[in-house]
Amino acid sequence: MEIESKKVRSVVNEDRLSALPDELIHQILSCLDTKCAVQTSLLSSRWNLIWKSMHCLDFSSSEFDNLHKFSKFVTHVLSHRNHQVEVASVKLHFHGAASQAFMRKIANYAFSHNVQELTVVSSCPKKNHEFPPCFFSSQTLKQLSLSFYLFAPCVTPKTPWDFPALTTLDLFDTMLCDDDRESFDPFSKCVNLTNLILRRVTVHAKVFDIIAPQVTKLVLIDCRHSQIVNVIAPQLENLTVTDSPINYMKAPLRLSYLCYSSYSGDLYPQWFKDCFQSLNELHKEKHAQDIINTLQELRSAKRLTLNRGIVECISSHPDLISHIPSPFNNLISLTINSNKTDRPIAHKLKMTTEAREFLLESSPSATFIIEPQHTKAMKAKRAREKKRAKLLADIESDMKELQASVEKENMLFVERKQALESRKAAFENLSAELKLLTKNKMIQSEPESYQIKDVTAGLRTQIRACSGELKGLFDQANEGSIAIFRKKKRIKLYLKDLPKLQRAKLEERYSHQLEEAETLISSLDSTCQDVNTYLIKIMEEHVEDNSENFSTLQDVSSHKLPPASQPKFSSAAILLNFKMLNVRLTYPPPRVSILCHKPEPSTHPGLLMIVKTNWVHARYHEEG
Amino acid sequence: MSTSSSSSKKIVLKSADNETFEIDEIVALESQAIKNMIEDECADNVIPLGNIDSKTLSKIIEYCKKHAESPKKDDNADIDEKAVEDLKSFDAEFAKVDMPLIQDILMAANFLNIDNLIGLMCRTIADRIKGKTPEEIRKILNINKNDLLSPEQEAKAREENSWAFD
Repeated sequence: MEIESKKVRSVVNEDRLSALPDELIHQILSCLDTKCAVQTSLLSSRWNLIWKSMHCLDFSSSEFDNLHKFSKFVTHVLSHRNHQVEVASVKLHFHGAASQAFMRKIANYAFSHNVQELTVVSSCPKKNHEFPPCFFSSQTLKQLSLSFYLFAPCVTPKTPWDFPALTTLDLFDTMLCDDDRESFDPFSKCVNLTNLILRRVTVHAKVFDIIAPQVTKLVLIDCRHSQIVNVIAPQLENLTVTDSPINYMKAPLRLSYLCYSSYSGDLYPQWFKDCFQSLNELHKEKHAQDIINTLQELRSAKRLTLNRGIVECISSHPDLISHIPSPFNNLISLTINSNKTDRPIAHKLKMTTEAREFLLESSPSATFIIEPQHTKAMKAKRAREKKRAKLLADIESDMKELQASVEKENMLFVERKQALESRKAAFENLSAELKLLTKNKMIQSEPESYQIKDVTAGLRTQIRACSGELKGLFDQANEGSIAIFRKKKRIKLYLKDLPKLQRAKLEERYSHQLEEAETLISSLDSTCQDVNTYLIKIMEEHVEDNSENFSTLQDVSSHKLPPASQPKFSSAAILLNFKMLNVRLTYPPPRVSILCHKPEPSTHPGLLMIVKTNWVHARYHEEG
Repeated sequence: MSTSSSSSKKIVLKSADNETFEIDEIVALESQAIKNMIEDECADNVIPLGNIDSKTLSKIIEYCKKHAESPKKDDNADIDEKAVEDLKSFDAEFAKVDMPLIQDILMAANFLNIDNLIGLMCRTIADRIKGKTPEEIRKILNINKNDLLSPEQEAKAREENSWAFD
């Protein structure tokens, strides 16, 4: 068939545009805003009426001084245009808050003329403008785009929108719901919707349901404010989510496109993982194809070293390489090496026959080397590393505890010292008084009067109380010392397990704290010894005084004590008080002598025992 | 690229001034009209285009070649941004011709049914008359002087559409 020839243009200055069919002139007019299009009515009789049958109306308020004039213009256009002609698209671009009546007028005209495409772009309205419900009901509309810039978004109706023909919905800076209702579901009646794009869409509802049975492309960007967002899109293929929390997603696992980013803490929600997995496969395949392409480029290589990851990647896609001839004709050696970092736990190289043939078939004489995999060594190294990490963590936490104890003891130390001095002074006084009484008694050699007896008994009670208090101070200091000592000891043991270099580093780092602990222990110990000596002195004084109340020295072996009461790092100094409650022994315990003192068994059923031994020395000896 | 190999099918177009243009079939397919002919198997030999001169036709072929080798937008969601930019700047350069040629290309594109090219030419014409007075537009478009409105008609049109002439 031949295309019918028409006459070739002979005159250069011919008005060929006017000879074009109406639709082409309409297409030119639709590239102009409607005001400009109407003005072409003056050009010629060909152009005089042609604007009236335009299918595309593009209204922009920027051509007008104010919204009122703009609205008047739009009304004129709608009433003067040829009503027989349907409207394909309406674009409305205005600045300011349009009245509901105006929006209704446009919606009614457009929808009654079977409009398919409606775009509203508005900026800076003074207040939220509410759209009339009739704006959200059309049997013909296929594309709807609403954009509202700046602060006051538009508010749309709360009932599901009635757009059975709608295929594309693009909302930008729009408020869909502002009353914090229980649930909001605007799209479920848009049964033909395939593209749904929501950018900076605000929904003040507890639950925002995006129910879109036919949607294949969904874009959610900066959509927040709803407590719960549910997406049901069983036909979804293409998904973009940027900083928009989604609680529930029902979408096919195999998406063809997924772009997800989030600035909140919820980095990879479950729905994302589901979708991502399928996409990941796709990426892997693309990656494998890229690798194969690169390998083909390297066809002249003689010595080739490949990471095992590459080999495993092409191995997992045998379909991609099975039909391609091996590209390497000159290969002398092929080495596969394992990157230490990318395979933490080495396993056997997974290499399929297809991959081996692809790499080596064309060079059968090439040497094939798989670099040794130090499976056992790597495992052991990993275990060591793990252990070391735990050690470091333990050291750190123990160090913290130690420091806390040191600080606490340092604070108590001064207080205790003062208490000690005042007790000593009190004791000295009491002791002097008692001595005086005894002396008088001996000089007078009279039978003791009841009065004197009472005084003596009172003084003794006070002495006992005083020694009890001193013992309490001893206990406190001793306990503090032991606690710090134990912690320090444990840290030292941990440090010993570290490699030399690391140990030295840590020792240097903690040297100050350890020194401080050491000093404190010595101070505490000297306090203890001080008290200990003092108490022994008291007892000895009272032995002279009250010999019948002291039993002879006894040997006590450690095996008489239950093993549970033998703390590992305790001091050898033992102050056994009533019923041997506080027993601490070194391990292995030295043989210790115990001085038993039973001042008045009738009133004190327990024992006050003081161990005479150089416990400080014993402890240091053990530590060394 | 894919269009350069000799194995691909060739189509010969003949302009009104009898110049022939041999092009790859894939380039010719940019024209919906030629595509229909090929599909209907009516395009065995030479396709004569009696209403398109060689200057216009060579321009159109230039356009079709470029667009045929660029990736199509609807092929994949993964559109190459660079290719899109490249095509845009090509279009902008392509449209930098005088009004008579633009009108010729528009008419020819309409005849050959090349949607993109029709759109490009309509946009170009619209851009050139935007914001101009009717007198200026008449000159730019070379409106037929015999078709002008009479003073009475013009007054009436102005009156009727006065709301559009503020």
